[in-house]
Amino acid sequence: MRRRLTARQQQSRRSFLRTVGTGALALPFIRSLELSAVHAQADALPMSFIGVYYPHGVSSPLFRRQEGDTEDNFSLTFTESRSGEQCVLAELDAFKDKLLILDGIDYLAGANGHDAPRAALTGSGRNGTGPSIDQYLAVSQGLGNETVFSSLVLGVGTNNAEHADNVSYATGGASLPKVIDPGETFRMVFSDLVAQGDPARAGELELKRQRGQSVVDFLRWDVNRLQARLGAAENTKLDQHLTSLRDIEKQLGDFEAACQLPTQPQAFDKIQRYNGGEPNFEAITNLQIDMLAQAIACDLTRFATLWLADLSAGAINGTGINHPDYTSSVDVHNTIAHAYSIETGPGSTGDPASWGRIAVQNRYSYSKVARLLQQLESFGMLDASLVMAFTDMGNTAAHSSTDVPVILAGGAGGRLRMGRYISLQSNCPPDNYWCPEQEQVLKPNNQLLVGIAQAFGADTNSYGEPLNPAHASGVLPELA
Amino acid sequence: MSMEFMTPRGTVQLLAALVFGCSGGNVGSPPGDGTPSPSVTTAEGAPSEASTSGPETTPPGAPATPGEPDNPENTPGGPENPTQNPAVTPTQPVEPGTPSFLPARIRRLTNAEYEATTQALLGTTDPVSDAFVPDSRQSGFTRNAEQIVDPLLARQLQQTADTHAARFVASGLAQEAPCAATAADRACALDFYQGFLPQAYRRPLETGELDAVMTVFDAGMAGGTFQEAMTLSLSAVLQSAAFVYHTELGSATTPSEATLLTADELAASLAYLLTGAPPDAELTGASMDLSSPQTRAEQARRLLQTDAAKDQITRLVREWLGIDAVEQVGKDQERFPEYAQLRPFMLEETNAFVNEVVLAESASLTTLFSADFTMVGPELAQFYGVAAPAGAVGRVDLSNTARRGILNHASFLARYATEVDSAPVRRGLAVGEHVLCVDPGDPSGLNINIVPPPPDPSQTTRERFVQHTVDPICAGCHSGIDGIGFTFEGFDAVGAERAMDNGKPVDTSTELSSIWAAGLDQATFSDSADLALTLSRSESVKRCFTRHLSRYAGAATDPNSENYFVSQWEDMQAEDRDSIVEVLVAYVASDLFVQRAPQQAGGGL
Repeated sequence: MRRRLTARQQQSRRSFLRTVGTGALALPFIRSLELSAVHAQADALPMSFIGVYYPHGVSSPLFRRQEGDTEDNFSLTFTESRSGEQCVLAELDAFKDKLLILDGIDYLAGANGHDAPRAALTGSGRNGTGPSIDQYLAVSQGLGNETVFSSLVLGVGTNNAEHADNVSYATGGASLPKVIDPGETFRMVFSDLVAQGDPARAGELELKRQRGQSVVDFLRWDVNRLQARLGAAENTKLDQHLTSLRDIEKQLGDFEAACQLPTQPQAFDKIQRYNGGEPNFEAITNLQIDMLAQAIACDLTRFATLWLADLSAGAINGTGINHPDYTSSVDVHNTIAHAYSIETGPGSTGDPASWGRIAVQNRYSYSKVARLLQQLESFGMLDASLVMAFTDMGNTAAHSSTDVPVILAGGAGGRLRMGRYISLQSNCPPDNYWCPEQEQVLKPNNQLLVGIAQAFGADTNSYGEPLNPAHASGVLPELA
Repeated sequence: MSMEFMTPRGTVQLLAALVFGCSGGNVGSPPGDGTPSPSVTTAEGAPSEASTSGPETTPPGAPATPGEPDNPENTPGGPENPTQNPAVTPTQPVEPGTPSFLPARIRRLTNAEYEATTQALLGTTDPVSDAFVPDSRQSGFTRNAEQIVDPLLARQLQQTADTHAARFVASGLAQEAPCAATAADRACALDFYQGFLPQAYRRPLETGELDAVMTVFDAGMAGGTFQEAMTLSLSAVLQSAAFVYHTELGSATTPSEATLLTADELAASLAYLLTGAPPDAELTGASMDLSSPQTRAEQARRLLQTDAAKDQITRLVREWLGIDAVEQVGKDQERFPEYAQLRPFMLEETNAFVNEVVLAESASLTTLFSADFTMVGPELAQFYGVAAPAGAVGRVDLSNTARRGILNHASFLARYATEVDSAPVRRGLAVGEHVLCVDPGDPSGLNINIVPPPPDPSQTTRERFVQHTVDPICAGCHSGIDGIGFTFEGFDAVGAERAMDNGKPVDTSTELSSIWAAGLDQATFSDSADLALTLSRSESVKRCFTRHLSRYAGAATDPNSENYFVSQWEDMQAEDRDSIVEVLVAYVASDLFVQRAPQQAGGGL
């Protein structure tokens, strides 16, 4: 079992960063030097959590564990006989021993298809007041306090605040907006950092820091004064404001990079979904993933979520995907996902061709998850990371919130036993995707979130606000 | 307690399958989750789930959620409560007219309000909030008391404040503070802020506030110039809580006291509601007594003459009907290549039309729904097949078209459609929710497998959706939802008129069940123009607008105060009940506008 760094260990780690930094133009190896040094002292790295949302559910026949496979011995490269299509998880086969696949989770809390992103990380429905797991760990549990950014909320294509388009929520229930412009990600996360050994720029930033501190002190004084007039409910809003100010304050310090800085990304003229941004999505997605991994590697943050877009309306541009149904004007939502057809009852057969069509979207999503895992691995951060890749639906055509696949990935700091594929609905007939109601087993997403919270050391046995509060309690037994 | 059914809206909740076709049958939902049955439904947050198959289910007779009152309109036989439907559980009536006030609270300015406030203060027309993350909405409205300063917005505020403070110090300061040219020192700054801060904070200065700003100024002077110190301190002001929050805390000394808004809060409340901008000199004048309903009404009428107020009314209407979200709706570029170019003109039409209704048609809701004219430029005139107006945007006659009123605007029709299809369900739901105040609820709680009708080139859209009305589980709600939606089948995914769909003639006729037709003077419609004219004659529709206006004006979705305002609205003259402007003035003159209940107890986790 690994532990988080104690304050003393953290301090030695920081002084190490400063020492190594002097005079050296930081390169990725410095990070690994630093990590091994800390490792020697503390035998632990702080854990990171990254939630990755991808749209449109999965092609279940091309995802589901094959008959004869077991929890520990399974194939992610099988070919499904009726469709002739390969498993959609093949992109992740290289990380097989770092995956914990859970097939058959239930989003409770009245999650409904397109609203499910609201429930996935919060375990709560549209009127929920609790935070998403990234915010719970970073803010409520204070695990984000030591890094410049408590958390990062990134996305591709849409920054609106609707429940269908957001996965990160603050305590109180307000949705947290995403940064969708890689240029803004760069400016926010990296532009105030300087490579070690640039005293002129460092001096400039020190003056900026002092001035910035005076502003933050003023803003905090002003919020505190207003808080004195408010009761608990109203103060929830200002608590969030104070959290935001703490982040701004932290961004004033710690400006010496402990790692290689990414270069300024290209500027994109259009970045919004349905407003001509789609042809840029491939490049934007890769930049967001790479900068996210770099921010984790630089220990600028340990908590993040990433919202992935689909391949509609020109997003195919630059992906190299070549499929007759994926034109530059394809509408994946209405013409691909809605046309997905599996068995819906005894005697119905589904449409195997539709399994392959949605699989194209699935493979694209998993290729981006794989890219994130590769980046984390290249920085030596994968073992200390827990990536949770999740989607909004089980049966995407039915908009079901049951039987949803969740993929945990990374080393999870040794807190979770990886390298497994758990079929949570194993009572269901393996060769028939229609599962009689009496065969289905309730596997609350909330209990998965409890397990993740505990893996990060949180002392809680409950998460979120499902319809039945009892379903919020306990750890999903299969995680053990 | 089923969270998702505690919709804090004063609307009827008919629980049923609504998204797509549904095949019935009990599949797709695991046992034990206690998903509610359609035959026993919830209304107004009082779940009474009788289908107790699992522990998720609330026992029958469970108490209603505290603070979720019943809606007088949803009482049996009420105009918007269809008791004929077995899926509707009648709710307990509340005594009409029971006073109920919103709690004392703070409200973060919307992005638009922040921009207008900064512009007014700094005397600039530069865009201010363009780079901000979009407002989060409640009941569709950007004006709501749930908005927060999240980490991303805090950073964007910081950047914006820095930029505009620097610009002001470089160009506007000399005029506001002549001493900056002759004696650019601390005394000059102090003198400037003494006059400036009360404007920024929309109230007189409190003890310590001037000193606090000057502390920032001093930090800027250390190692910096006067200009740098002014920029730093001004930027701090533009990010401060006193600047970014509108307070409605009155003179209460503790959070548990009911209170009346202060004169300064009333002036700001009035200005932000009606103009989306901070109060002007007349509103904040020493002799102004906004505690008088008559004075508030007079001031409202004065403000409503301004361009800002006209823009604000178009915002109210756009957000009420959800029309502005058309900017987030894409279309298949191959099938509708003209859409991307036309979309801005669609919004232009709706804005200009609402303005015209307000200015030239007594702000009449009847006209809003029934108008046989609209306001378009040449682009949309061509799209609609009517003669282009004389000017850039002008009034055109629609009497020879199938369009009547705002619900037949391309903006509304394209907003409630998919990328490729007309989407009768979305259009029907939009009318149900926003115009009739009937909320069918959410089908995901039903134990049914929802399968959308697959695209089929041999069928019309309407034919594909017929399953909804064949399956009795779905039909309870979908006969109404789809029935309304089908009347719009004469318009495609981008709102263009069409006679054929997939090679077959479209069928726009509908007969609504008494559930949906309650409050309307007819139940059969030949098309969406017929529907629009019928809606325009309905008092229920005007009452529903009043509910939405109450959410907008109150910046909250609060059924108690909403019901109270509706009861006040009922006492108005019929002609005034029909006028957007008169209903707004009535809200401002109401005791609802002035009084605040104690702050809400409790908080988040």
